[in-house]
Amino acid sequence: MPSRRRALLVLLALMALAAASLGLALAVGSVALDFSDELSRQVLFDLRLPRALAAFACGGLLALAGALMQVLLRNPLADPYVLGVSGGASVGALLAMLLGLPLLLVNSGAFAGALAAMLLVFGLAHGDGSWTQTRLLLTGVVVAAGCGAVVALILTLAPEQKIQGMLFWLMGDLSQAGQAINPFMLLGVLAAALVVALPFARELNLLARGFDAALALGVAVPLLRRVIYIVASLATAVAVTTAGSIGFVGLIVPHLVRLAVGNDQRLLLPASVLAGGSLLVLADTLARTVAAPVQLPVGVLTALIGVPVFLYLLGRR
Amino acid sequence: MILEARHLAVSIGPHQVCHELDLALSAGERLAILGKNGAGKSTLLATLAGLRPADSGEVRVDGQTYTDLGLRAAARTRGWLSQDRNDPFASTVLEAVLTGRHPHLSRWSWESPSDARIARAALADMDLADLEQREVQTLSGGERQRVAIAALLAQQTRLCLLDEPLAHLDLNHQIATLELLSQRARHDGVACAMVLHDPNFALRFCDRALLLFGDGTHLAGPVADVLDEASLTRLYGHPMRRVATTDFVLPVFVAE
Repeated sequence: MPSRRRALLVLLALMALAAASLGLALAVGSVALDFSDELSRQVLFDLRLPRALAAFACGGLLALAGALMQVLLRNPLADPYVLGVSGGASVGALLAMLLGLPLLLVNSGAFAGALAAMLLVFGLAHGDGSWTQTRLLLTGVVVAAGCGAVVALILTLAPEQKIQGMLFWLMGDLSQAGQAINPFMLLGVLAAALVVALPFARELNLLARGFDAALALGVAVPLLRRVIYIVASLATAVAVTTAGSIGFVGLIVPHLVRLAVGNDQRLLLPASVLAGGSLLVLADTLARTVAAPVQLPVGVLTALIGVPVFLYLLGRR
Repeated sequence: MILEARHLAVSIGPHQVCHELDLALSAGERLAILGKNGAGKSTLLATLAGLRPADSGEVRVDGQTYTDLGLRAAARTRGWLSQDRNDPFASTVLEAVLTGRHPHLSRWSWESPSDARIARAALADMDLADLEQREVQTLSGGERQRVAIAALLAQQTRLCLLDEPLAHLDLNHQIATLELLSQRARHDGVACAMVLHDPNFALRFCDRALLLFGDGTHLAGPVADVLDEASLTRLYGHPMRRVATTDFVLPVFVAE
């Protein structure tokens, strides 16, 4: 039986994990820290801290969005990108890069693309007012596929010296993350998304079991689905704008948490945020240290860490 | 009157389920809804549950429309058993039954020991006491059906609308479920409307029957009045015969 006490214990443990991952991210790197040294302080506070906080916020946003999308679509395979938000962001960002725009405008392009995809899917799926999960899923998948084609087209047309940057963006990259966008603003967005979603957590438990059954139990299903769609899409848009399309965090973290602590959204949502944030901080720390001075795209590492852990947990059951 | 429908017209696309349907169910009464596949039994039941709008006419629960009542108060008054048993995510049997307590809990409160007691009693009533820690997804179809009925019982509503409550149940559990509902009706005054496929169960366990003929017409009344050879033959499109038995008080309908 779900209990508040158990939830608090799990969340405390995950907070410790988050603190440990952030501590590691601050301590590890190509420059050994020495607090009497001005350069060390700069590295710590101007480079590592903003990057670690941005990584935590993005990981948390993606995991939260993934958990919400899985309930919204009643589909365990859903992830934050399934409805085309990241596809739209990719098109926007790559177009800005193709035009040679500065980083700020690349970010703006990504965010605009993400919002455009979100509104397009919402409008099309809502078309006849029915808004069934199949229709929503199909619309999202088709819009995502269309965006994929545009991305491929841009990559084909782009001059060679720009392709490396584009590929890094597409694979997910946190090296610029703390700089262009204030990491505390990202953490604020994460907190806001959680604050909007958490009051509906028990209703989400019912929504996952069936829309009509939830309605009969007193859940305002149409309104709740809209709120969840908007929160999940905006969370994804902010994460993708900051760090590109980092894969697997949004799909695998909610499942990891579910396998470990069950499917009660009251615990699953905050636990996913903490676990997702921690995972991305760890992955990013690895990404910038494993092959230093070369930085690996963090999206590749999240997959390399996430997949075996997930398969292990799946096999254990 | 717990449930009242007046001049109700319901349709699915071009298909008329019923029109000018008047229905009243008071405390402790049980209504059987009978009809062929596709006649619109589930659609009508969902309309009576306030889950889909009627074409015209009105449904009142405790004298109030669903709009006046509001979703939450409605959920504390009427329970609805859906036909759909599909859980994409894992959960334990106890968690599934505790969902029935949702309308009784405030936004931030968690299930209390008394909610757990109610849920466990519902599990025991459905002969599931030993399974409370099992994953729902590992259960058989009939066991899942009983979990869903237990969740409805845990909701503790005075009106229960059940869409095929006997689906997937073995004969023993079919009778046990119908007896449990009859007992709730007698002792707690719970009113039930249920979709059934066996007119003999309707005759034995229900006070009244509603026959949906599938062409927009219907027949409603006390079971002894509306369940006869002619009406059932027309209802199922198959000749039905009434057999009087010597060691059984009620007659039995058999398909020829």
